Amino acid sequence: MFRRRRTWAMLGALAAIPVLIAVAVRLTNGGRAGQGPAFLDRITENGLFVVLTALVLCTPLFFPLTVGVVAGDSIAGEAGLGTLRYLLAAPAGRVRLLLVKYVGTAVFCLAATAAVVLAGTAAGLILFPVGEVPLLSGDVVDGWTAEGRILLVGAYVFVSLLGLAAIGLFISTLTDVPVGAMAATIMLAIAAQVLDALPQLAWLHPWLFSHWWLGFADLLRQPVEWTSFGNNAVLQLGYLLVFGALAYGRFTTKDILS
Amino acid sequence: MPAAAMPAVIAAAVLAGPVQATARVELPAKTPAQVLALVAGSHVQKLSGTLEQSASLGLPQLPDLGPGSPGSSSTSTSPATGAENTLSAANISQLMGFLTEPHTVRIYLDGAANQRVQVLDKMAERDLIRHGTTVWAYDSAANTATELSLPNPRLPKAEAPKTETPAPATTPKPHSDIARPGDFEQTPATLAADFLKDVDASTQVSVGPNTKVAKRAAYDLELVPRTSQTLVGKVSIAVDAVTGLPLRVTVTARGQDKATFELGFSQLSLSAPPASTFLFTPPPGATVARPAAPVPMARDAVSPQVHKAPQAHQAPKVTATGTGWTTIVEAPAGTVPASLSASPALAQLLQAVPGGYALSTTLFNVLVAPDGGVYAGAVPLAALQQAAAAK
Repeated sequence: MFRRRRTWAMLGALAAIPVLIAVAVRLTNGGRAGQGPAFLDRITENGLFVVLTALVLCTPLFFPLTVGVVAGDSIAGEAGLGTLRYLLAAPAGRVRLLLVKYVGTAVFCLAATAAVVLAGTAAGLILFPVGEVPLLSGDVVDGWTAEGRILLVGAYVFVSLLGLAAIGLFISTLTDVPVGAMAATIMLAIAAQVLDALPQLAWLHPWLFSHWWLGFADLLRQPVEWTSFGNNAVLQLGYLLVFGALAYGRFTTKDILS
Repeated sequence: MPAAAMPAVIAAAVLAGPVQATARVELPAKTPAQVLALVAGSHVQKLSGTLEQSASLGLPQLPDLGPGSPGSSSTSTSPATGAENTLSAANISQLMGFLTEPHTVRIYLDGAANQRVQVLDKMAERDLIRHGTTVWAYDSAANTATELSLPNPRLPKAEAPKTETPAPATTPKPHSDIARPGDFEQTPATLAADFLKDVDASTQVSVGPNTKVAKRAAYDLELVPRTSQTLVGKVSIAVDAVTGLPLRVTVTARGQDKATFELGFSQLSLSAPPASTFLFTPPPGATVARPAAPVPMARDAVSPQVHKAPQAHQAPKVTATGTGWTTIVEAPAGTVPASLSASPALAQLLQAVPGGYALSTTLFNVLVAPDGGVYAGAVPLAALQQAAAAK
């Protein structure tokens, strides 16, 4: 997967987001408090907020987009290229192929999060002062603790994407057209967020895989509020199990014709 | 076939996971008076916990569009402006947020002089920290900090027991530090007996089935109004079986089977929070305000006591008629300026009824008369209209 130029292009685009934010804020000298995405107004005071702003922007849109492309392509892409049956001709087994494809997608989720965190940290360090960082509670921690918190946030975002990756893998086993699987995965991610915004469907919200996506702010409180991290991890694990099992059920019984 | 069955099995297991079996909670049986005595004798000095507040008042809900949407704190005015003393459109949207949205509040207590309350918003937080006579209010969305000095530096002795007497229709404030000196002379048992005698005419007090709140076994004290002229069907207060601390207050509207308003602990630890929790210095870059006179707003803004919020803005000149559950609170003519009645934020919230505009919920009603007078109470709208017409 990492030999494909497309993967690198997507990672590069993701890494460009925090850099763009940092350069834009640097050139315009920041915005007013309370305006724009969360944390944007803090960037001029502390460069580490570049990462957080970028993650707030990426989590609802850019991460689902790129993960949807990779996950949707995983099985259907091989089928579309006509290479799936050659892969299965080797004595590796379908379960193992499915596992390898899912691990590959998960590695991409990790790489995508890392790209944003690393590029954001670098851009923030270069363009803005870095020192003590105020948390949401108003308490101040030193730069290293803050960087630790940011890595925790990165881990949170990575875990958040695992459920979507499993859904994408399942959809990818349904079709031989990779574009269809990608589009369906991305549409699901957007639909889940729309449903999450409707208060009339409050009973459904805890079951949506996107429900805790932006809950990583709880890691920036003093003391850290772990509830949302735990809830998110359990929810993503549930999606992983259900859609992993569905993908297994579908893929092991499917007639591979291409 | 096994391949097809496996997803179903795993899906069933995943779905069944969160559904926890509700086991019966075994506690020694207690009479209402004994439970009240337990509450009155409670002296919890140190705790850290998470409170969840939720309300389903039947108000219109707006789609939640993320951190910038109305109701989240990014629309809140700066505490330094003191704008909370007057009704404004921003206040109303904030108030609406209080009424319709669930809230999570973290509370830290250590003795009578150290308190911290954190209202956890989306991507933001509002804090209120008291350390000795210094009170800090911090709003992370606006990045403003307000420092207040308590006017009366009467430091209650650390060993003085904190007493809380539950009164009907008011939610107990676990972060309250108001010690009532008179209470200490009575024993908890006599206090409970007196209270029961007082409320007996209007309220039937009983102990319901034991519950569990925040993993702690609790008695459930149920207060049922004897009159049918109120919208309140039942108030139940879960009381910790060990410490007597009220853990959860649930208000159920008449004719509903689900809680209309609920405020309770989801996590509770009775150990002292670290001392650093109560030390606050405003972060660099924050706007710091130090108003000369103490502004009562700060507590107001984070107080989970939403019932009182509509009246809190016009503290003077408010009168009450009626007794017990059917009390109607009145604010005189001109409380609501005519310009505000026409504002879209208010129009969204209020509906035109005979005799003015009304905010109608399943638990309480508010009537704004054409002359600007405000009538509110946990009574049917007709009772408010009668009261307004009688003027």
